[in-house]
Amino acid sequence: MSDNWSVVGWQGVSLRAPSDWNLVAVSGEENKGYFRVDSPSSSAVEVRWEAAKQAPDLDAKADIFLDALGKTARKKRISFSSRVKSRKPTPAEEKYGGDSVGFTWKSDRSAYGRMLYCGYCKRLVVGQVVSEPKQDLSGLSAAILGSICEHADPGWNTWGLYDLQVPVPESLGLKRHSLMSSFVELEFAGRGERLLVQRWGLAANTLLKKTSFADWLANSYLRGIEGYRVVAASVEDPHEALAFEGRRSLLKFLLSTISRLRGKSMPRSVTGRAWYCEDSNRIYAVRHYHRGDSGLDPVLRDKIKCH
Amino acid sequence: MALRDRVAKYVPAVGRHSPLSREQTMAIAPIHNAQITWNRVEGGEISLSIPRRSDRLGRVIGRLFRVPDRKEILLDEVGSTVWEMCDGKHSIANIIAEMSNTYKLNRREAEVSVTTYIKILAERRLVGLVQRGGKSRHGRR
Repeated sequence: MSDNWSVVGWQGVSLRAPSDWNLVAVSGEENKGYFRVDSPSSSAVEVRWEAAKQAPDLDAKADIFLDALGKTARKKRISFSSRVKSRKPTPAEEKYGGDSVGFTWKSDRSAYGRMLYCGYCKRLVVGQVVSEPKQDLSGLSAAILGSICEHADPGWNTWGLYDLQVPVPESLGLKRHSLMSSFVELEFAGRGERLLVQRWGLAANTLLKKTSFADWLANSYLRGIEGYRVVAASVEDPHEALAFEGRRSLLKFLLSTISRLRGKSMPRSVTGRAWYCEDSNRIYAVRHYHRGDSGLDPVLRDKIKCH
Repeated sequence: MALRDRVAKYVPAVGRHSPLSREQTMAIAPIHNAQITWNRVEGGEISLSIPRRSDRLGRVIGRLFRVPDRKEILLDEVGSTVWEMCDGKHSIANIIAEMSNTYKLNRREAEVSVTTYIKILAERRLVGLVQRGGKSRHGRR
């Protein structure tokens, strides 16, 4: 299952889906949000979540959710039928406490859904696999919906998109993201730390077409790290890779000390890694601004599978 | 029913054009504009030679501003690969699959970049879009 399935994750809500299904829409934040994963055909998984301090009455919530869908269908004069059914608790529900109900609905589209309260992340999550009424996705839907909010690695949120899976400490929240074709960037921040994960596609055909990886790093990537005196060296890695670390320059250090006195803490160090995976034709880079002696980059290098 | 839709019952040209479904979009085959000549240059990239517009306005502007008769555009490696496949035989789905395999792109990444690129080519009338069944959607010159 693991070869043809990949993890899609956003804001701590994750699921496993066939690897040719892709994240196409994200919105909201940790407390309330949405994402959609499309199949190559017309099926899709939609996931919505909102923070809930206590476990709500899921049957009642599911009824409200389905009533709203039915109302919309009636307005369009489309027939609508739905059913709510109880589900066996998943291992995650048994482990962290939580509950879920299943539902199905049929209209001009049909869906298998799961509404759950996650005892780990204290969120109410609704996931549904929507497809054409003729398609029978019951088996696939059960596998996808059963994998929502597994929290397999407590303390870490899995961010997964476009074949990239990055586990990030839960203490770091998403500050900025850029999801472009052949360039993905996720920036996280929290408690005086900043983590930047970047991935470039088409590496051999664009970035490294007229230069080597080492030269590209020295001339483009490392120059982008401003305000730090950075030293880089190649490291042992299955791919051509480089580790770097830097300290704030004296002037910046003095300015950061003043900022700290004013209540703003500035990261003192930056550490990171960058590697070129020829198998996937991609460059990966992890950059961690922090106050401690060691950064997250070696841990993340081990956790990120590039091909 | 809106007035426009009622009128469209009798005069189809007035009606709204329903957007293409995803399947229909993927089945579209882009084809080069016949007026554009192209050739491979050193390095394998493709150079397009686009004639200046030949209508009255084009001729006047051409004389006033001394616009050359043809404009050259050099496509990069990836753009050249897509251009070569815009032969009216490969559908957008074929081009996406080829790009994904050749450049090891995720299918979604390939889909976004190919559709955006072809849209730009079509807007600049460098390619026409042929729906399966022979109906042209765009790009006449």
